[in-house]
Amino acid sequence: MDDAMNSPLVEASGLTRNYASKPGVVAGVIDLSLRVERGEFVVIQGASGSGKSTLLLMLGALLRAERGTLRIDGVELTRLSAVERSGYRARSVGFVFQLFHLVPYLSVHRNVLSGLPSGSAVELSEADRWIDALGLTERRDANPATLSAGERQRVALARALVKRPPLILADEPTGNLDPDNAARVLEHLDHYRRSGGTVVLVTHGSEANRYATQRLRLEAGRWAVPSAFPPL
Amino acid sequence: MNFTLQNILREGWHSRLNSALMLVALTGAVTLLTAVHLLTAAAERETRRVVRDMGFNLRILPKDTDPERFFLEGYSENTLPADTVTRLAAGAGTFITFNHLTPVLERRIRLGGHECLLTGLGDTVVGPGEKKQPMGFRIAPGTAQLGSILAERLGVKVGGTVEVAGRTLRVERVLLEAGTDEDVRLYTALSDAQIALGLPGRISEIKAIDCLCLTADQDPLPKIREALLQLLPEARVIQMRALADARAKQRQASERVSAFAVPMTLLVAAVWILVLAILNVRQRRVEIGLWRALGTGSSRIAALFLGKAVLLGGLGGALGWVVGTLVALRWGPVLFPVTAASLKMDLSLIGPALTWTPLFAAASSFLPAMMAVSQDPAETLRADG
Repeated sequence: MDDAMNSPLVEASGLTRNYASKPGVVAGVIDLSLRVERGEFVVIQGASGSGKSTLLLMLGALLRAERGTLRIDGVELTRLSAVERSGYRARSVGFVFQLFHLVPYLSVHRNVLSGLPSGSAVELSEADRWIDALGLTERRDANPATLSAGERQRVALARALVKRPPLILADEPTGNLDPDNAARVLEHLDHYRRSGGTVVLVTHGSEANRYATQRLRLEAGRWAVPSAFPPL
Repeated sequence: MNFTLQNILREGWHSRLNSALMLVALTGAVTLLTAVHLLTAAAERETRRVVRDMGFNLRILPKDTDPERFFLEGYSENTLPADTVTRLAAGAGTFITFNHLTPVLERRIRLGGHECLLTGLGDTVVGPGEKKQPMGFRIAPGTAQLGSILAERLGVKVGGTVEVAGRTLRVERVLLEAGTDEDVRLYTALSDAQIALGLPGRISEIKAIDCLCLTADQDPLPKIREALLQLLPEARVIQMRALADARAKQRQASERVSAFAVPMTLLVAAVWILVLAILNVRQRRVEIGLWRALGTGSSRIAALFLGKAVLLGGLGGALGWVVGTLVALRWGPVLFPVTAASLKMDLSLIGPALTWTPLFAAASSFLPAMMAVSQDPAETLRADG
């Protein structure tokens, strides 16, 4: 157990995935290696089409690697069946998306609850706790369509955090937010990291740099040289 | 309440237009099927009544009947034992080909100085378990029914009497002018005719209706004759082709309507639901991807779509039964005035409506549900490459 807790949360080696994202354009990642320790806030930057989202979806077991190994929290993802990968996502990963992706017919409270497996009484109160923590108490029963962009992203954040997963994967979480709301979301992610969680965030912006414990840059599906980054 | 069920209900309300159109399709299908079922039954009753009113179309005669004499006189001069009817009725497979077996004894007689046709009618025998009304008339012994011209010539009215071979018969009814030889007929009970003609225990023919209901181009006569040869080798059969053909066409037309309406209704409803379910899946691609990202299993995602179909199916089945019954009860009597009184709601359809409609809706939504399950979440959730 101790060994497991001392081992890196994410270990990837030789990860490769190609696919046609648009006619004539092959996107993906090529021969990527990655190591993320527990409690890290990893920021992965890159231009559109550089492979950031592909990598993130592979870390979330939503995309299979064509080659390479990917071990997260002691589990080798490339060997899991579809059912096992669903179980892995339900237990170990929280997603935050640029477009929020809230379920349009569920209230704020129900959206947060959708991140939990059973909807038990304990989970109901946990959902309320996160709604309060993210300043959404007044909007608990509101429909997502009536929320501002910042509120929607905080609901998505609460949904990701409510099950306290070891790993949060955030895909351009501030891309649709104004600077104040973007800072607020990043503060919450950083708070989660400081409480023991691990965050991997992909972005083409620089707002998250100040929270990063490790910064990486992707260019055409490969890591850019470390000198491309300014000093932390 | 189960989380999936709650989500189905909330999504159903959220996608009101899609849900309403799906419900309309299911309700419409069950309405049509219920109405078609009730109206088809009414149409069959009506057809049966109409074709029955067309009269007998088969005449089973003694084998040695001279065809020339038969057609010139209008009846057979030969006779069969009266129990031939019961023997025919007892034969295996009789009622596949023949029904409404009515023993008849006919002769030309003089009555009050006028020539007429005496027709003695026995009780009609129908197939086992059938509740069909006897064909033609049921005439009680001691009574008579007169054709219109005969009654006029004899100056007899209802309640009067006629003397037939020394027997006095009370006139029960004077028939409306038919424009056929019926206008000069005297109908009596078979037993009265047998006594009057001195032919006790004898009949001159058995009138019947053929049950094959084949049109003339389907050549039914060889089949009828073959059946009779097996059942009653001492008899021959004459088919009144025009009548039989009209009856068969009427019956086949009614059956064709049902055979067309039911599968067409099911097909249209299935396509309608399929299209709506596919649209629903396409509209919910991101949501499906999200459920995947949250770790929701395939069965639960499929349940969101199939569950919606099943719920709407149950509702559509109930609504369709009610509306279909109302439609049939409202317009059925207009379409089928002769048998209007027999149109009633059919409670036995509720069970199938509530069972089969959800299954049908689920089957129609199965393909879209599988599309939802197999959809690649990475395609819908990525912000960019």
